[in-house]
Amino acid sequence: MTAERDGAPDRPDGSDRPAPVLAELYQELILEHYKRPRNKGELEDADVEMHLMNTSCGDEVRLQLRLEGGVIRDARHMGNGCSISQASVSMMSDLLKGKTIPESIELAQRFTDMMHGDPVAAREKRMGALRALAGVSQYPVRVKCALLGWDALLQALKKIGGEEEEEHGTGGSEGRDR
Amino acid sequence: MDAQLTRWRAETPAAAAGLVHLNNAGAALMPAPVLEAIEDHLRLESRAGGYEAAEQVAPLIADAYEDVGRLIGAGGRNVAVVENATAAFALALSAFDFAPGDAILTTRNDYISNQLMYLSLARRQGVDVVRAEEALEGGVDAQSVREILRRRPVKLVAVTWVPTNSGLVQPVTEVGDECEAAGVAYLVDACQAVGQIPIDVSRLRCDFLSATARKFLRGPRGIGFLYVSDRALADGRAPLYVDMRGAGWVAADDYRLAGDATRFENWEFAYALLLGLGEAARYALAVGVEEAGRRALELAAYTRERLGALDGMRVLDRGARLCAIVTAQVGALDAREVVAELRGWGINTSATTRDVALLDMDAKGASSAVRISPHYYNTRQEIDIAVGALRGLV
Ligand SMILES: Cc1ncc(COP(=O)(O)O)c(C=O)c1O
Repeated sequence: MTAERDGAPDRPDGSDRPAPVLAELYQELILEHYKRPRNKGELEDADVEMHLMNTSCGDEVRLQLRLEGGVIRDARHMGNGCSISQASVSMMSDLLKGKTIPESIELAQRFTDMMHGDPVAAREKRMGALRALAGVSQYPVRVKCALLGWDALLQALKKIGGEEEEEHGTGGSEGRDR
Repeated sequence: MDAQLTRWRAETPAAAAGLVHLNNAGAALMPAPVLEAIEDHLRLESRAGGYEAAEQVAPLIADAYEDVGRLIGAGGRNVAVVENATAAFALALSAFDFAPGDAILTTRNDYISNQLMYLSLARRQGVDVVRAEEALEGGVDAQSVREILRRRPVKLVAVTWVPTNSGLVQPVTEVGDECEAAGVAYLVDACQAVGQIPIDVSRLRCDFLSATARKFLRGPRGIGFLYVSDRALADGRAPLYVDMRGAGWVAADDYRLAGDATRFENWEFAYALLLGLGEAARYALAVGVEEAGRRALELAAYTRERLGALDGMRVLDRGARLCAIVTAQVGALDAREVVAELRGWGINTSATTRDVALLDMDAKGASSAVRISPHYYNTRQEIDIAVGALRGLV
């Protein structure tokens, strides 16, 4: 059942009608993040940036991260697309701040699990607002919308990992090239 | 064939399999993701229960409204989902309390069902139906709209953007400017425009805009939508018959309208089709309506050029601006027979007849016409096939 969207009155609940309180709350939460995204904008001192686009549906996310000592201090995003892709990255940006790289990767893994239908992941407290997106897992075509920002995160973190390796001279490939 | 076209055709299995579908103004072929969204939801309904399924995918349902909104430059709160464009149009008309002598200003080319609704309002409510003059090149003359608005009070201006029976594109933005200047409410039928012409409701300055999913938008049959502007909502515009979804029954003798466009909706509708509509909007946004329209227009121009070169074929499209609908009289043949013949060759077109567009067809002196409506996923080769088949008939 859709929606009580902005300003809709309380719907009279006929006895044969479902009372989708949680569903509506989730829906409102998603629309709230879509219309007033958290951490939208640009970072001047970003350490890493990743731009991903979903060519089949036009969703677009540009994610920027600033890290200090392996901890994400700031996360900003730009882009446009459906409410699922944009709300997901907005929620993600809220949750990332203060997380270490391994913690962020783990969160991304649990969110991916939830998107693939893991009911346990969908109940975990640490998922926060992201739990509102659990219903998306019903539709494989739309899972990629919800995962777009997270793919950007994982690729950004991978890039950082690579750069750090290069900086510290631990990169095996670099060694071989010489 | 360029890479994009190859992909669009691969996602349109019937086209890829060789069906020459040139009836996009009737109902376009749905792209695979649209079909998938519908099928997925029907399956979920059968697994989980109808109400429960809708609850489970509430975020996707809300997203469908937002995606339709994005397509026309509006918010999800301004979108009411209804069964089809006709229902949307009727709901919008019902938001006005017409009294005897009130005028509806429209065009000679408005869609048949819209004309019938105006006439019904004339017969039952004594409404004056005023039709603005045509421009020389065809289509309504915005200047005439301005003059009429100066001359007499008008309750509502209603214009069909792309009337279904020819390639005409009416100057809806110019008419919108006149309505804005005169402070008159404005209703646009965008049924054939959505998906082939970029829509920005704020530029149109319309209060209402009606559309359907199945045409150039490539959505499913049996679903459409009505855009309701913030201004119309704030003015308290609402349908005559309000449903429990559209309002709350707050006291024995009182009700309160929903704050958003849901006030135009019924409680029950096809959620699978709604999700299909949302997917069609997302697909159109990804393709780009501008790009889709450009390609469709190019194919239509090519069709007109090739048909015009055939003996006995008379292209009927007139207007300062034309769209991806091509109409032609095929010798002395009844267009319905032509369409049936082409169907036998695996070519889908449609027929338009005098009785669905009385004023326009009489002005053109035609009793029927074959209608060829390509879209961006069609090819020149398909046009050549259709023209080749037609050449054999005239
Ligand atoms: C211009 C126009 N308006 C309205 C309609 C009605 O649409 P629906 O059949 O979805 O009610 C049509 C259908 O062909 C149309 O072409």
